Amino acid sequence: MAVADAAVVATGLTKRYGRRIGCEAVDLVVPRGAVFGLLGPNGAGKSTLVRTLVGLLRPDAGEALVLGRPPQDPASRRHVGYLPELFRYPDWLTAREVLVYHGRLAGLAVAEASHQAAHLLERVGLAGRADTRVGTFSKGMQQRLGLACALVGDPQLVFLDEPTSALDPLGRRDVRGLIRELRGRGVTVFLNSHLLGEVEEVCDVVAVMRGGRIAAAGPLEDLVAPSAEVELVLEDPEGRAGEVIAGCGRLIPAPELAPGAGPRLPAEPAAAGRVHLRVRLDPAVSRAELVARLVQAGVGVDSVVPVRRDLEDVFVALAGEDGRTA
Amino acid sequence: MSERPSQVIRVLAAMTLREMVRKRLFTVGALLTLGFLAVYGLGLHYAREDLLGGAAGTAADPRWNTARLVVGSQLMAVGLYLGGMLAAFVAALAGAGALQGEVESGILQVVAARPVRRAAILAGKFAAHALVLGAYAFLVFAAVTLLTHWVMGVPLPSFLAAGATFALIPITVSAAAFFVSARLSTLPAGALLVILIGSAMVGGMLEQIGAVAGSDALRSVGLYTSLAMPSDSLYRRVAALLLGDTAGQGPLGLLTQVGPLGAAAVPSMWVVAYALVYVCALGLVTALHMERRDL
Repeated sequence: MAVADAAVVATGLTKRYGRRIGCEAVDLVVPRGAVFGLLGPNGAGKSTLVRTLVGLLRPDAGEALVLGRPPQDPASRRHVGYLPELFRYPDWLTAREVLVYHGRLAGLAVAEASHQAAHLLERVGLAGRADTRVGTFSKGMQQRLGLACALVGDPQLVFLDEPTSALDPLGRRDVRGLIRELRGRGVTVFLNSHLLGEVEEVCDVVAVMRGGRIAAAGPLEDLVAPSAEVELVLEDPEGRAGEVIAGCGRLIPAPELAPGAGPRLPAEPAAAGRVHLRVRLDPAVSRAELVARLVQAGVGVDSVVPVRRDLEDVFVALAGEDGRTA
Repeated sequence: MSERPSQVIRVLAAMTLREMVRKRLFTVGALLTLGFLAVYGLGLHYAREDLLGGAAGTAADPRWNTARLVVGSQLMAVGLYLGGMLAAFVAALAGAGALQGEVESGILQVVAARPVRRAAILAGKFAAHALVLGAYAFLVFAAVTLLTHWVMGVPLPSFLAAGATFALIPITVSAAAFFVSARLSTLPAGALLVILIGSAMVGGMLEQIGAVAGSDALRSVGLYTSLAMPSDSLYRRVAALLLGDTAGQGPLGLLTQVGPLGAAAVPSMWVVAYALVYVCALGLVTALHMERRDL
């Protein structure tokens, strides 16, 4: 990823709360125009990282650039929108007034701020409640208002910290549509979410945090790329498959398989007949080579399917049990 | 788009004013103040009727005039003292939750994530508080003094200078409230401010007693409390401006100024200068703190 033209660059970014680590030595590059998903268990440091990038927290070490400027420089937020995890807007203002207020703070003239407010209220489904005081809004409506607020001023980069936490399934679908719309307009979206399916559906680039550090980062396709595991369906009447497989990798016993990861496979190949297996190949052995060796040994190969990991597998593998802090 | 501080200050000030209106601070404040003025007016009326005999025809009597000036001056001192206290407490309560309270509720973070300097946010909020509370204090001052003048015929020398000084009372308290509110949450901030104002009041009274009794120690107590919170010293300056010339420097002048609410120890013009420096210095320190702190 090109650092020079990135929307967000962090180098060794560290934030501590006394002895407790918020985030530590975070190196990150978010390309412009990408939808970036930040994952991690509770307390992994996701919100700390976001709040540091929007200038609310001062880092203890490291550097960051947001649209080419350090987060402490207010100018870095000229084209940035932000929906915080714990959103709250003045309950004595109407929805329209909140958006006009933020438009004015973003530097818009009154007329332009009013125009944008009307458009954004329509976009998030609050046009009918434009002149209702925020204090009467449900949590979900307030989150919709927060989304609209994050989009005031036509930002080039939008930080969304758990944007669907208070929304029902229809609202979540709307947010996914909104994120796709933003991507279509070239807006960079920095999405911090617990919802793996949501991230998998809309994100191009993903990072997983654990214990305040980035455990893995990269394009989503790379993270969920076919692994070294294959599922095999073999015709093995003479029981030779086990010997061949032992020379190419190792069998995955059924207890290691995640629920829903395909058919429950026997822990050992059957002595003869048709068997279903999952095998983790040694790095030096390709799938083609495995098939060739099986055929050479007289084993019939009905199917060889590379196992594709989903984001949950990646998340569980990276975050792990010890990554859970809450 | 830009992060022009002047626009941000205007927007924040307008929003803070709107907040005061929407939360009915003006309405409640106006009603309570009207109640206070009604009680004060009644007090003036019955003082004139019952204590002084009330008859207009006695105005030619020098003893009646002397009594009218002394009683009127004392009542005006009480009215202004309570009015100043009212303005100071309103400023403390309005400012106690202005910063940390909004940080804890999450409202300030959304604003600070805009292309604005935190110092500009602070300046906008403080400008609105100073404007409203200063105007409020001036109106209370005008109502108390004009009522006294009308009912008791007490002259009002240096009316505008005294009114402007009186308006500074809640502004200095506001500056202290913002300073405290940047560090403490609403309840402890409010409690601290009430103690600070109370200490200044007690210190001011001890200073007056010290002036009459010739005690430097008591005067020093007043000096130190006024350095921490100059609200009481400002009131004494107002009292000195209004009452000092009531009857010249003779015995009547002394009569109008003695007592815990008088200005036997007359603060100099420097108390106003100190109050202005106090407001600016606290504003600057608070702005620096807000710029550097985590939200």
